Amino acid sequence: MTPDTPLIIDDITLQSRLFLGTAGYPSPDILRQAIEASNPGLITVSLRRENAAGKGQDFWGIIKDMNVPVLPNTAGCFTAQEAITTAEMAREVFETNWIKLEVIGDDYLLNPDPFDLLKAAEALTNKGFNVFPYMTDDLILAQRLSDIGCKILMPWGAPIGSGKGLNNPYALQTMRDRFTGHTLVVDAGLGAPSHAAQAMEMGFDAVLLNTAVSKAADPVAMARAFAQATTAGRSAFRAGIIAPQSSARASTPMLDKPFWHQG
Amino acid sequence: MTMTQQNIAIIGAGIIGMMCARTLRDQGHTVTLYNKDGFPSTSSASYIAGGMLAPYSEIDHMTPDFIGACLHSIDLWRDFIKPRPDVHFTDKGSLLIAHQEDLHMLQRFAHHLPNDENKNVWETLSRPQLEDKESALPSKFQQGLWLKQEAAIHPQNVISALHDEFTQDEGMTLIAQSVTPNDIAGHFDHIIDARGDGAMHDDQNLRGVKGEIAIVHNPDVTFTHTVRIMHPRYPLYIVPRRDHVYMIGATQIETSQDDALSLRSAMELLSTLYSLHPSFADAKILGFHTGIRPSYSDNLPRITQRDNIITCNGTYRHGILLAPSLAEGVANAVQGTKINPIYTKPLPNRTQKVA
Repeated sequence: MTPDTPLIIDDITLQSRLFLGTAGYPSPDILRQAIEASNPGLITVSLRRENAAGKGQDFWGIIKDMNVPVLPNTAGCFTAQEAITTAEMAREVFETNWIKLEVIGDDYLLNPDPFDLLKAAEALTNKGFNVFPYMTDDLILAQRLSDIGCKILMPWGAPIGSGKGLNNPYALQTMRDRFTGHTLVVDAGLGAPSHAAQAMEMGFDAVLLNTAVSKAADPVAMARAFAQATTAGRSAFRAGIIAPQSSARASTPMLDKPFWHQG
Repeated sequence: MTMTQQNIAIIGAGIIGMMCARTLRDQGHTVTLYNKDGFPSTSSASYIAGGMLAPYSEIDHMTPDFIGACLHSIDLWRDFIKPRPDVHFTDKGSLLIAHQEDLHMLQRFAHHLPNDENKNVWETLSRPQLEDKESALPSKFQQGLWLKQEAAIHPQNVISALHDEFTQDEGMTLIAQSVTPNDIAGHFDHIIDARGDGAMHDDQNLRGVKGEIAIVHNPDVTFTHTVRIMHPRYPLYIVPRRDHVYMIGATQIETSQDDALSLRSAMELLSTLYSLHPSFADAKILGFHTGIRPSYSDNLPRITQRDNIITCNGTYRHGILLAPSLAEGVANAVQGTKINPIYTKPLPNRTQKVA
């Protein structure tokens, strides 16, 4: 098998296909260790809750020291306008035109709002951002986002932080099959490394997660486990997974049995 | 053990400085206490702290090797309050509850607690058991966790009580002046640097983590346990004080700017109270307070020594909880005896990842 090509976004070669969120770790040092253990392709950070200004060693300093590409997000925004303003602030603070666009429609389940998402994505694309939209797994929404110029699509696996894995593998597979030229990332809802492997086996380009690692009993070990699962899933996808069938088929001819029992 | 009496300066009159002063004074040393804005200090992070002595509730915020020191500290607090009846202290344990939609957080949290077959440390409470502990809890709270060994102390009571003692103690000198250890080096046998976030200019390893709390008065309901409501972003505790006064806090925001609290934080704190019991709708707000928790990148405290300067800092969320134990550690450093190794671990490197 030919060696895998790395994921490249805007001429930046990402070190891996695991994208990691940076919220909710027990300490900045545990976050640093988790990043070192899992070697993520990029890390997401939220601008809204924290404040970039500060004395001494602050959280941003730790993030910037990691030398991993940063994808700022608009977590906590409920309208297109809010998300656009946050994205513009993030562009200044982090000096990147990448933005993970999150426009939340429901306060409790944190469902993405597809309508304001599309509105904000169009406005930000026109302003020169590379938009990474956090979206539902709806095919038409994917089409509309693609129409306005999104090359990256990030459908959810399940609601943020739920850890339920891929709630609708059919919809995700359909999107993968339809948008072959796009960079597709399963974002949110992953709980176990097997969920990450499953998404990668389906041919997704990357997975993005946060809570499953940050709230694990041992976040550093869990970050490593997700990195391994992501790599395993990617390798399996490239290796070609056998199609399932209903009847059993022995993998080895059984020499200890009379041949007329075989076949 | 015989000890020579030393002339010791302590900089900072937050909970760490005050408890170090008390411990060293009790050991017979002469203590001079400096504080940049007078006495009692009202600007320290500890003055507005909740005072939860809750190592198991905070298990996600420290490493397991700290549990022993925390439990020892709670015992030291228990000894501390015996001759000081004005200091409000409760040790009935903490209750952890969650709204129906957040029950998974309670279950996830229970997985992080130590295995405890004999239920000495914690147990799951059914609705009748919860009601037995706090009869006012609305029926929507159907289950909870009881962390039995946890306690709470009122930090302002502690600081006031010690302040009264110190002002009557001829062996103590209190100086309202902003100094650094270098300013007074040479004048003392030992200098204890307990400046907390006040040392951030000198110590690049320290960062600030802002906390915001609300204090309310609600005569219409009685809670007697520290109650933690599971919240997606940070642990929120409701701590009952005397006379139906309740503290709720604290938020946790990565910033060193000690400005006013945000409207969002105020709403989160108050709506959490209201969601705990509807009678809080008519509670009177006594105040909002903010503070900066001095923190190292692993959120764990340190005692470090350089010549005759002993620094105790980085207490993060755990200043009140660990103050008596850290004061013991500092006293050991003064005497040249062994300090609990959890306080002397090297700071984590800010190593750069190899790209």
